[in-house]
Amino acid sequence: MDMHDKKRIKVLLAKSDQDAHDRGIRYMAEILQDAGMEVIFIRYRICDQVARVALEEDVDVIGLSFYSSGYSYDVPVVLKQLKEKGKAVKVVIGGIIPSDEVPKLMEMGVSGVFGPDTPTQEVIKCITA
Amino acid sequence: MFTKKVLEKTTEMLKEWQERVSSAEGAEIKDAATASGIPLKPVYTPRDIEDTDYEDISIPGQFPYTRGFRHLPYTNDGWMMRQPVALGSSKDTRERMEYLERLGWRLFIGQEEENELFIQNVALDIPSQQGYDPDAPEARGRVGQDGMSLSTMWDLDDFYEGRDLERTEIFYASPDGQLPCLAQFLVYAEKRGVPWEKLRFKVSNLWYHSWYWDAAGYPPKHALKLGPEMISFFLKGFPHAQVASVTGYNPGEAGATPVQEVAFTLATAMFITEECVKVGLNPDDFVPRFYGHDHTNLDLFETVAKFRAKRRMWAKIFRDKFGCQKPESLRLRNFPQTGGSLLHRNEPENNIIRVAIMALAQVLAGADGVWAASYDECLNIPSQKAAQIALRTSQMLFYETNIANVIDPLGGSYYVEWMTNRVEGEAQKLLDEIEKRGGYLKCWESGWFRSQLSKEARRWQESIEKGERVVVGVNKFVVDEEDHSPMFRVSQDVEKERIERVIAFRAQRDNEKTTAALDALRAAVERMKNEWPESCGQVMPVMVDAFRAQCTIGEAQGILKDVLGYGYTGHG
Repeated sequence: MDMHDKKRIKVLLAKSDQDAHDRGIRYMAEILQDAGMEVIFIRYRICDQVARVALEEDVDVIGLSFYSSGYSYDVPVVLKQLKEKGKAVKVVIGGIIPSDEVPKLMEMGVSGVFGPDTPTQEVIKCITA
Repeated sequence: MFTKKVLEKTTEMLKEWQERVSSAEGAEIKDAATASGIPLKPVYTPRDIEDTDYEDISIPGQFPYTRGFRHLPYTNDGWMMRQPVALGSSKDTRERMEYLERLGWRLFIGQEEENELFIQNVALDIPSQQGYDPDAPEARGRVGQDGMSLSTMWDLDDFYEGRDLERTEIFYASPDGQLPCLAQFLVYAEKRGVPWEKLRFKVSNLWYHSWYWDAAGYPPKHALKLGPEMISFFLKGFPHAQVASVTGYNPGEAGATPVQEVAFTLATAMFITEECVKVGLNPDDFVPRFYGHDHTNLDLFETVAKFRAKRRMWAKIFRDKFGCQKPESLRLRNFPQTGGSLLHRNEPENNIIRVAIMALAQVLAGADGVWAASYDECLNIPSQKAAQIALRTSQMLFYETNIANVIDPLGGSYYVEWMTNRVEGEAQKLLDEIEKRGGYLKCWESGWFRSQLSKEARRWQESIEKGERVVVGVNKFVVDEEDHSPMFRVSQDVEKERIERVIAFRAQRDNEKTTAALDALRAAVERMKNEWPESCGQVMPVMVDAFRAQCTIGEAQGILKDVLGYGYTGHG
């Protein structure tokens, strides 16, 4: 991914309407803004909206948050749609993701999976790497 | 409360203590504060509560109920075991419930067999809560995964067949979906020939929940109508229905400190009451049927003080502000839940201990129910083993620790009484601020409540990240960051079965009749939207009719969302 030092990193944070508990993603929105990034936060009804917004807003990074099992359906769809549109975006996941799911998600092309106890610096490091 | 002699002696002794502390090497007093940020001293004495009016502490079972509502200890009537069970289809949930019932799970702990009641504390999966049937595109990947999937009357047949409805307290956690799921349940009871007045409920009625998180289906101006609608319906002909939940749990999970929780939940209760008065209801008729669902923090003594302070404030507010006469109006029965955000995924078994401490706090605080969560709550929905340990936690507290014999065992503690006063004082300041900011609805609509919670959530998280707040095995003494605990997952096959079932259900019914009933429902909801408060009480009966005509949860909820909410696109 082409991310010049001087360019402000643009992040789309997204959480499904069919999900609950937004404490984590709202906290991350503040942390990423404080780290100098531009943050857009949406709640989506169906996951097709994520890739669409990512293209419209021309973001560098997508952060998806799940407290529910919705990741199992949404993540592959988002990755596939981004690929179809030829959009190179780094995708990171946060929330309650069972640890044995992490290797599968990484293999699919996700750049990082973070839980409630992950230090935020690790998330920033992953985004800016 | 103390004689002059006692106070003078205390001052003298404190001076000696101070001298000893100052002369001892390495005995400097470290800064300490509660979860709400209230600074602490190392020792409390009569001087800290010398201005307290003894009548404000009172005796258990008496106004202002600081020491709780009970005249007799838990050993007489037990506490409610509020553990939730919900997963997959209604069959899967029932199987889990029956497993726990074999282990002694009942509505009340310690009840004699002939009086036994059972409990149903079911959280619906999110599509069901949000009004999407299993075959809606919005539901994909989520059916039965994070709660029980509920869509058609067939689900209730599976769930309740052969179970004694009159001896079960019914609770469906579905904040925006209360009207449909209870209307459907009433039609099921009717089919079984169980008179409605025999049914026991807790109506979840959390239509106001968008002040503390995102997941709400209606803007405040319409959401506030759903509360009185349900309350007025369940006041007539349902003597065992508790009509509205005043929750501090979810705000607590969103970041509210114990002090904020007290203030914001009291503000919520006052607002609900005012809205009900506007539709012509009398507080003494419905306030006794409110119930609380508070958060529980690991800060044990502040948690105990929080419950005590809130009881006292509630009693005074409903007596003085609303002129309530009935003693029941001055008592908010509270069924708290152990805080999920205080559980951690590193070394998850440690959460068993965290939950036990929080459940202990609930008992010491005189809560009416104990909700001990499963230790794997922060990993997945509970495995059977974890649910069993949660149940055992409650049972061990009751049977093995000897704490159930004495009411309000911490009452009279200088520290706890001081803290109770302090929490009350801080919460009152926040209530005054809400007033100053234009009241509850303004603070809700402007996002002020949310901003206050976010600020605290951030303060909490940062203190963990900086290591100022120690979480054992998470930011200190970390030995193994790999998580080896088994993960419980509901099979993805549930979704396929559920989709087939809802399609088959729609195919067998008289669709013309269903459509006509849904049209009538839409008209009633339109009236609620446009002719409020005159139209209050008109939606629920029509919704019951729609379930008699075999509509689904998604169809009924879809109309509410379409008319009152932010739109609805689910099919079905």
